[in-house]
Amino acid sequence: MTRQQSPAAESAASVSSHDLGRLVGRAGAALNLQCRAAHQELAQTQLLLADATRKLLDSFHAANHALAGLGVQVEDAATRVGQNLLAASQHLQFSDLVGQLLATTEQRVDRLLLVSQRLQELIQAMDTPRTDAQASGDAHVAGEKRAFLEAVAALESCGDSRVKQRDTRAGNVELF
Amino acid sequence: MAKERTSTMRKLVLTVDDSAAIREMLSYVLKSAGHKVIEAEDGMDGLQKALSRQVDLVITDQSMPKMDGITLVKALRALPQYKKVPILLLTTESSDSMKDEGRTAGATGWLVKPFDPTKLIEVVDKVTGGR
Repeated sequence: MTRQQSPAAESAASVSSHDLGRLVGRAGAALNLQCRAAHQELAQTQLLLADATRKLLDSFHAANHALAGLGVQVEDAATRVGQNLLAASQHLQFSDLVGQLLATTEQRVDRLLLVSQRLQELIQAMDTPRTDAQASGDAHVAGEKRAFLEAVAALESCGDSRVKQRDTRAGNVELF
Repeated sequence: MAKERTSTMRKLVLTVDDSAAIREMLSYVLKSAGHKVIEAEDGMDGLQKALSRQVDLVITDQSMPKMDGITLVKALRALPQYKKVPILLLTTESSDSMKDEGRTAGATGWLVKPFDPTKLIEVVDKVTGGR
């Protein structure tokens, strides 16, 4: 919008800018809501995973303890169960891999949420009618813009997860 | 403990990982092979435990709060009593650059999670001269 526009055109542009602001604000609110829900779901998944892992580990140790008490009469069976427990110890490590993946996703969602919040705050600041305190309003918008750009930069800095594994097959071993 | 190995080559192993599941699985596998285990939940805790008691082997994760694995390797290698003690990095990381960093820091080997329990015991025996 320029100062050379007619009053009518200026008014239309202003309305359209206002509408755009409202649309972006609405999108931001929806994004915010969904990010919060996703964050809660991830946190809930972490809790369920931690609880299930804890109970699996307790059962694992209890089975191992019971096995140790069986005595020599059932040594062959004990050996086989021991081998199975040993194999299970590889697959129980899924908990660490999934936990790391969830933590990365949680951080990503947190940063998305922050961008969404900052966007809404920026739009609110831009939508605020100018009064005689225009200079202070402009400073407020500039501050919100800076905060928004910082949130975007933080979101952009989210890298790929370190976890590349897609199953619980054993990883490589390299001795230096 | 299932079929624990009676061992004259029993070693004291320090395991360092912020994941309780990994610590417990390491402990289970190492004890099954007849070794004794001390657990630490991050690099700082690991360093303190290594200082309070001389261990024969350190198995550490890389990415941990407070102090990461490579920093722990460097800190241990700076101590005369840990100059030659084997240190294995057990991590989800598999990038060559990170491995090079581990090698330069003084790590003895790099194991990618999840670990195979049988292979782990072979590696432990090999680096500690247990067999």
